[in-house]
Amino acid sequence: MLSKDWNLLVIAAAEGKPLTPVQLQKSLFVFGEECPQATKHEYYQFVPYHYGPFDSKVYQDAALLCAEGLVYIRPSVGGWREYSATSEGLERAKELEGYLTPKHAEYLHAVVTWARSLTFDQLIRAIYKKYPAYKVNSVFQPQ
Amino acid sequence: MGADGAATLGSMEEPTIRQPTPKLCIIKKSLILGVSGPIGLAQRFAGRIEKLWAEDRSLTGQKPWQAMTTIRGALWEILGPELQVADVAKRALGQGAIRSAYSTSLLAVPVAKKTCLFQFDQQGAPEEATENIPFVSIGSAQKIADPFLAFLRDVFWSEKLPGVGDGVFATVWTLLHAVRTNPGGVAEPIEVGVLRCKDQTFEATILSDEEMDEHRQAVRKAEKHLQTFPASLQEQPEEEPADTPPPEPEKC
Repeated sequence: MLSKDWNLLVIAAAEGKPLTPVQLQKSLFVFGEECPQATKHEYYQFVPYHYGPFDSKVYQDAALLCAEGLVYIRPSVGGWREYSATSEGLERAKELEGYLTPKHAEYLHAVVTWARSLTFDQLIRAIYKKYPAYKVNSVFQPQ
Repeated sequence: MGADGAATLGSMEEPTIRQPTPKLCIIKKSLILGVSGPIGLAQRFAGRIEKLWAEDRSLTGQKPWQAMTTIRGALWEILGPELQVADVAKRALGQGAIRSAYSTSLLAVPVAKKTCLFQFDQQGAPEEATENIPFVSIGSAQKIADPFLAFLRDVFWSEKLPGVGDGVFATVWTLLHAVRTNPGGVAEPIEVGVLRCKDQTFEATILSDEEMDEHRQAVRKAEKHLQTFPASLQEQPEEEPADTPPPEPEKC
């Protein structure tokens, strides 16, 4: 499984609904942290950045998926990009899910559902709480 | 360092059209230059500073006040003749002739093993940003950016200096505010450059649009937070739900 396959799986887990940049980054991060067995071959290398774990390759892969017609990248009202699966992307993700164990597939959906249920700040806070090492380069560091 | 992405084309004092263009220039992967004013001057400043950086290796070891004096000398080689020409042209063409010689610049540069931010005014006179005045803006949106940056500093960083991430956040918010409120000539796409020291090496980069997206989301959140302030004075705020942790995997 390539990193862009994981990217598509996460975007498609929102079932055609859009993911914000933070939801996409943090869903991939949490899945990688919690299911290292599944992602041990090719995955993202997250580093602590301004809002916690970040890997710019996440967006490069999403752009590749967009070029392949599997993902839409559309500007939101707020000006940032949002990521959603096309119908071809949803089909391809179904095929990819066949390579996952049922537990991994279930967990991936649970993480994306969780990330989508939170606001921007709730999501960042939850990540910092569970993975404090990724807070080190955060904006608004306490004194 | 941040910039909007609108270049105004025109002739003499008459603007014709606006075109999207990057305004920040990375020089030798180590410096960031931003120039307000004619694009031709910006191109020549970039070339001259690149030459200076390549030829004068003592620059990095100088004290900031010495380095900004050296750089000013290099810029004056371009500015001096342009101002003289403009002075002559002004008599024939009027005040508009001065426009092709009028510019201000910002330069982020590693000097004496630290990152420095120098401002060069219309005559090339330099000034270093310091802990006391840690921000500076130039160009047509300066009237919008200066008070907004001062407001952000008062609210968030009255007691300490902002970190790099904080600086990017403040820059993105200021640019978005300027784009929304300016009377014309300031527009997307915005860009932000960062000069960092990594493993004792200085590295200047322009952030990708995607890297700025998280900051755009944070700015929107901050604005929403302010929007709810009036209501918080009128009503008992709803209790924030406890943070929901990520779901626990079942033995992944």
